[in-house]
Amino acid sequence: MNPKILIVDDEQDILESLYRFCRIRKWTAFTSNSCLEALEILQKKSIDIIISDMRMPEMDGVTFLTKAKALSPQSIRILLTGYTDMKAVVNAVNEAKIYNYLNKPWDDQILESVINSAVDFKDKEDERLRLIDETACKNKELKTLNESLEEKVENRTEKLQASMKVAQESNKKLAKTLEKRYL
Amino acid sequence: MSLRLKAIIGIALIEVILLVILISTILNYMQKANEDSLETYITTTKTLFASSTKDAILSFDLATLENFVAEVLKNESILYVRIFDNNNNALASGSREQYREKKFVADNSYQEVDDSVYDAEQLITVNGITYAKIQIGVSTERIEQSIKETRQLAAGIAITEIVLVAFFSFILGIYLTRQLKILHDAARDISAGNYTKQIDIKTNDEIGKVAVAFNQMMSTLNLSNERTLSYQEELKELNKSLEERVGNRTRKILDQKNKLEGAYSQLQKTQMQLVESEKLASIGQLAAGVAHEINNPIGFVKSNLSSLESYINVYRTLIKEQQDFINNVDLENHPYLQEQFFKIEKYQDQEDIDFINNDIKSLIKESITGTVRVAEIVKGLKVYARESNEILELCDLGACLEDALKILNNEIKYKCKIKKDIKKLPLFNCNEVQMTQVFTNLIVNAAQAIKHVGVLTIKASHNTSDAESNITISIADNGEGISETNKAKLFDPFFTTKPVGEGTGLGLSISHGIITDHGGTISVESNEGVGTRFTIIFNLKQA
Repeated sequence: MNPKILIVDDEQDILESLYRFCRIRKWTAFTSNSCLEALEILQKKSIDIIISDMRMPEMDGVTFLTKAKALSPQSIRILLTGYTDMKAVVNAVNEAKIYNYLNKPWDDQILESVINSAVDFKDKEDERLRLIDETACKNKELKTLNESLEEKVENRTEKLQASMKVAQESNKKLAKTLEKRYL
Repeated sequence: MSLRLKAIIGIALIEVILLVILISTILNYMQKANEDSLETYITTTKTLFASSTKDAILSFDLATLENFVAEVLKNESILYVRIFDNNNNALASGSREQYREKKFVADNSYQEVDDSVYDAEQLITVNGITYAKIQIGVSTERIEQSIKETRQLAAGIAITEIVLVAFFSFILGIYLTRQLKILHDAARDISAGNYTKQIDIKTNDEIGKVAVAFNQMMSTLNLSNERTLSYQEELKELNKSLEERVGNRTRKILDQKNKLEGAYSQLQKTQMQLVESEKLASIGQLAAGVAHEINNPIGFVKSNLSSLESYINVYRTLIKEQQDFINNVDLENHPYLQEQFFKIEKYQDQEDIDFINNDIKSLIKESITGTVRVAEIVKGLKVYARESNEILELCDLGACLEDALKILNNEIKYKCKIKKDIKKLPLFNCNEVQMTQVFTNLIVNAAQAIKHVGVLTIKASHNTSDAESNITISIADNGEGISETNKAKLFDPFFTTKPVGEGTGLGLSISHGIITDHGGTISVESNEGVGTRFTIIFNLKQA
């Protein structure tokens, strides 16, 4: 797999370190130490995973991730922070609907497994959405087919009814004739 | 001296003195008067006789003289008459019986009379020639008698008067003293406290007025005394109630004092505890402050070291490929290349490439471990920082223990047999994460104390009695035990008996902090070579 990861942090060293981390695993990484720049990247590229810190210039992590969610709702949002304020973290989880959060300093293996499961999750989510789309399409088709079927059935029913009428008339005539014959 | 006596003596004295003066004056006067009259009488008598007898004497008419003498003697008071001529021959004489031989001592005045006879002498002189001497003895008896009588009478009167006066003043004295005694007794009664007696004196005199006034005073006193008594009663009542109230108030104050003292010592204790925990908290605050600053660099250093490891592996493979290539080159045909090859080999030996190849892995592993240790320490220190909104909830500590055991099961199941005795516990308000942390720490310590195989005993119970109710949890092992010196330092931060690099020495210190934050106590019993038991007690609020 080749997920596209957007990393936002105010420390350049962290960005570089995480860039190396991604490259070694053959993942595509975009880094920025500016939230506004990051939002631009989000608009231009299709990003799978967003990793962000809490304390940043321009806006805090919750605000940024909320905006990111609005811009690109299908991206997975991960919070990576040395900030220990649990209230803010809970806020982020609830408001920005983040998928997971990790403390700094992070463990490379744990980060890798989190990203893997995030990608997995995203794939499944994408697939789900795609299936929903497909189902919607198919439903639409079915609906149209259904409607035309209704028409056809109506037509055929009319015709059948007409035929039946004719048949009934003939039957009546036949019965009368037969009556006349045997009386 | 009593008044009576004083009165009597005083009056008597005055009486006596005055009477004496009066009587003596009167007697004297009387005496004087009598004397004077006597002397006058005598003088007259003797002069008269002399003049009467003068002729007879001169004429030497003795018979006439005898007649005259006899005539004169008829006078009662004349005791004797003697006539002498100038040769002292008796011419005539006559006397009463007893005075015949009386010696003649001339008395010129009454005072000279010492035998009740006034011996008077009269000389008959003509032209200065004395012819005869007449001696007359006049009896002063009458005068004496009358003087005596007068004196007696006077004395009698005086004595009677004195007696009467004394008696009267005695009576008066008695009367006065009796009344005074009544007043005195009444006054004594008053001083004894009896205000009700009234004096029974009805006379209209001054004493009576005094008595009336006294009676009025008594009734007034009685009234005021009754009022005073009633006031006293009231006061006693008030006093009693005051005593009660004061006693109550004193008791209340003592109670409050005791309560205050208790609260004060409690406050002192709490203050000490606070100071201690503040010290730790400030360490924690500092740690929390720098934690973020430390975590960031540690984060990327750690990650970079891992990346470095990957890069090094790339280099290692590259070198191996290059080495393989070099080994396949036909050096004999290319002397220049041979030279380069020897250069490379020389460098490899010089720098001991084999050693470096082997060492790089350890180098990086140790560096990463170092960063992990730093991270752990920072994480551990943060526990000392007081966070104002710690999540407290009611949780079952028994379930907490079971959770901890579950988490650690894989680690410890080969080392120890687990004996559980976890009774049903009431819900306890605590931070569940921290409690689990404590139990985990203790269980891990217990397992690590056991060298090969042993028994880990976990007990939890809820104890109630009249006085208190508590939850008691104990985690015990039969491992190597703790020495006395180490026991003292057991809960100190960074104290560990593990070799450097294994463990931070913060586990028990943090656990102790968590337990005391929740108001509980943690204690240790241990014997070297026998085992160790940690006991945690949480006091539940008295019902």
